[in-house]
Amino acid sequence: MKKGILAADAVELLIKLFFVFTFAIFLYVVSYSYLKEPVNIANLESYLLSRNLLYSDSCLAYSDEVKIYPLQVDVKKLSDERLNACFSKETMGFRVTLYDKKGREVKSAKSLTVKQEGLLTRGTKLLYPVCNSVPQYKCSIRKDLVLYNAKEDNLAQGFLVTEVVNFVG
Amino acid sequence: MGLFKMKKKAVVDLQLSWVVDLLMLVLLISTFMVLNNKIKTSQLHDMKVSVRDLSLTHDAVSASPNEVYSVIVPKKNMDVILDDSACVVVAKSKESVDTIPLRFPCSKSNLAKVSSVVQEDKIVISKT
Repeated sequence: MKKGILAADAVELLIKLFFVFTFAIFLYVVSYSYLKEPVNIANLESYLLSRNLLYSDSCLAYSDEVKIYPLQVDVKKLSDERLNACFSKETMGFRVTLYDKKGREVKSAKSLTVKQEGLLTRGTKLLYPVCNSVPQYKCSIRKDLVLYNAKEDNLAQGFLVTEVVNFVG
Repeated sequence: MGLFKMKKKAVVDLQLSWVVDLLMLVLLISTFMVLNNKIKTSQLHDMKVSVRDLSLTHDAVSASPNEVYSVIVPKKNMDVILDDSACVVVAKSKESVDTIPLRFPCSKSNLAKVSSVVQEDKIVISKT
């Protein structure tokens, strides 16, 4: 008789605990998804970086006394120091490589920390295997058609490849 | 007499267990209501969007090859501040004190002159 009463109490307790835990989990999921709502703007940030590089004379755009020439890369400006001075963001790092129209590298520069450089290491099968394995970071690559001054007053067509590593949290 | 005492004790135990259950239920419902009230306002979402909005506007103005002005009007229930020297956007809630201020970085340039001015309820970002 006593055993039967104890068993009934245990079942009642289990049912109550089940409801309490279900409700607690529901509250946790709702509040966590609200607080950690992702706002993914990594692609937009990469796009704005490329516009900064190609449209602003403080970055890579060629300029003379009269005007600025957007999408025309001044090869002399393509250096690590220049990139660090013209665009720095604590959550972003980038590497810029200028290629000629046959795909040969003309010049490269970067604004990266040691950690970001490691994340932007290229693999054989995957483009950025290290970056893909770390969910807090997102790596992307952009290719823009540009003009650049190959020799004095001689413009050539090429591609500016921008590789970006973004901290997305 | 002994049977009467036992019955009385059982009734008290039963009532106590109901009171505990009721208190637990009230606690759960009140937690839910507080959470629901917080979430319904969507203020945190608005703050997240506002800091990013201002940061990206700053970056876009910085990218412009010409002199350009951009005007942003933040929502009235929050303060949005652009710190030019550190290049950080901070959003603070005007209504709830317990909402932590949000920060989001913008791009810093030592070569381009981008500045921001607060005019009444507007923020004017300019490149000169």
